[in-house]
Amino acid sequence: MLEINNLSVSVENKNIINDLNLSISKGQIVAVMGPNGSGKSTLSNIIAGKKGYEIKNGEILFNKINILELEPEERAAKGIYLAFQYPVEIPGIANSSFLRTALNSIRKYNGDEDINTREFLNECKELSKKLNIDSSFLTRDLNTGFSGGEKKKNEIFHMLMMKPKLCILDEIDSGLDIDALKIIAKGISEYSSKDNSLLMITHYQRLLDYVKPDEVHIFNEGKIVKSGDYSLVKTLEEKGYKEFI
Amino acid sequence: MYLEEYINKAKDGNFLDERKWLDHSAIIENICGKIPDSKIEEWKNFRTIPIKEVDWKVFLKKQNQVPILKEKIHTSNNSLVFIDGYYSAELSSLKKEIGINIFTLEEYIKENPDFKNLLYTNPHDYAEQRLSGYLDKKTSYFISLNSLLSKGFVIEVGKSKKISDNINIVHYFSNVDSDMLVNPYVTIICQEESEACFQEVFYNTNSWVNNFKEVFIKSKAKLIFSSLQKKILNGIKTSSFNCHIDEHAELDLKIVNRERSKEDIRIFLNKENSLAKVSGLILSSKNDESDIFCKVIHKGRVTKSDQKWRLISAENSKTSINGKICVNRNAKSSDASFYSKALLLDKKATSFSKPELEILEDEVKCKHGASFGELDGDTLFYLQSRGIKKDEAIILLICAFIKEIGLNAEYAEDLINEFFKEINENR
Repeated sequence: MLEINNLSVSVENKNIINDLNLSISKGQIVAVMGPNGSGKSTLSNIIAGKKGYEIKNGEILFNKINILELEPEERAAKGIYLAFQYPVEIPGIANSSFLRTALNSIRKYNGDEDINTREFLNECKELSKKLNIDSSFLTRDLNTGFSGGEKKKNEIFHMLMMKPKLCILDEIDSGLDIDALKIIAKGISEYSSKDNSLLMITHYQRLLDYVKPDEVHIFNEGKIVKSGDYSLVKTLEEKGYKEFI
Repeated sequence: MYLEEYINKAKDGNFLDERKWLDHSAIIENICGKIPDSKIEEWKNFRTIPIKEVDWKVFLKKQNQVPILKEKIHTSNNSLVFIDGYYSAELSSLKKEIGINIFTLEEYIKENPDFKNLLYTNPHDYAEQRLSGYLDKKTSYFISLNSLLSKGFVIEVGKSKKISDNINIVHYFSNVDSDMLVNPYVTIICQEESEACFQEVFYNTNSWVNNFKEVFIKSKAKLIFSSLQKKILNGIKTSSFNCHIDEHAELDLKIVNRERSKEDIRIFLNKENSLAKVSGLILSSKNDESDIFCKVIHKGRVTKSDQKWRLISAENSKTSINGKICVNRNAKSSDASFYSKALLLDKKATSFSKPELEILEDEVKCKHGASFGELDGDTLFYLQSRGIKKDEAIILLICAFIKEIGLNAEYAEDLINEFFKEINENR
């Protein structure tokens, strides 16, 4: 589904991704772990299409199409979803209204009709029950006044409503208490299927205990320094990053 | 001096009679010569040179008015239509039973002789008292110009009338000559314990519109008033809004000011427990200016005012708000606030916010704040990463930015869409 080939990226002449190769197949769960400043979040931003990076070399193929020239909204319409580490607060836009606008934009791009309001609201209601989210969550302004945990839950809520093909979770587990982490993990499990792929970017093992990855990559200085299966997470937890960088 | 002479005569009490000897061109010549410039604090953000450069002609109804077809007028129920500042009963659609009466100023004064004493006849009453002690009358010349040249109309909301329907005041301008001066002059009187909601819309004009509105909100009455500018003007608009509020009475003013427009707002919280909420959007694009001076004067005890402003400057334009709060002696326990947020959409766009407090009494609360910023790139990326196109994301963010003002959501969205359409056409 996603193929990153020989990708090198810089910002202000500083190399931040160095000849990176990474692939995620349909239905696969891949974890990228690494210390602070290793380029993990940059990678997620580049896949989602954030401006400000200079692509020196390489390509990112999504379903065999090079997406590097596409705008972020076009990538979203093709099925790429980024759950932000720090979701932005937007006072003045209701959560549900934003979500409906986003869904309709993607539907329009793909030649589909606008979502039926009743269906949308019913789906929101059902999902909020599943994720233990209070119904007032939907009417509140987008992420405004939300706690850290609520913001992360909202990212998962949007992910489940938008049904992307590839979801990038950028440190979705940071700042969560145990209960919130379980709910987030429940949401991710709800999402993962043989058709959907997941790229989980994280520092810690704890989320990966709930959502077991098929592949684990250790990231440092913009490249993969070690790859393995779930057992690599255990090794990392015992020995720390020092062992690999 | 012609104006001084007029004022002295008017002060003798023969307000209406004095008009008979008025010479329009002499008034224009006299007042236009005194139009304030950037040296005057209240006018430093609005270029008045384009006004001074033109040899203005006074708009006379019979000579200049081009017939406007009724079907061209976009009105809904309960609309009061003004063509070139003149009320048109034929084009208006107001249900009689609603409780609103329309008069010419002359008719109204004939029935209510005491009202004459409340009218604007003396620029001294509205002049700016400088800290130096100097009384600056230049700030009120536009009102003088209007009230000397215009006949004036009165809209009266009857005593204890609670009008739930929205009343539209629609201003159309038929004249095509760019050297015409039009002076719409409307007085609104909300009688005791009445409640009404007006929405005033100004349509496009090529000329100079010098608008004057004087509002009286009597005891326990409540007025919601929105003044909206529909399109970017090709001409110039100067506007004066004076509001006098009595005890336990309320004003909720919403205002949209566009390019080449200057609004001068003076709100007098005259009596105990009077309240004024003012919120506005100041928009500008191209090389133009959009400027508001808003002064709230707390005269009575326990009076409250709240100003909320949003400014959006695009291209090379400038937006500005000068918000002055005066708490006079004897206005104990008053509570006043001013907040403005400005958004700069382009590198060359500028904005100016100046909250000003003049507090002459103890035991009062006054707050103010102003902020400036650009559209945040991370926020824009967040919206785009959810599938929303960049242009639509910008409009969504701007609608969110102005939401707190409380404009009708549909109107606000149309306004912002239209604003960006114009900008994109210029690019």
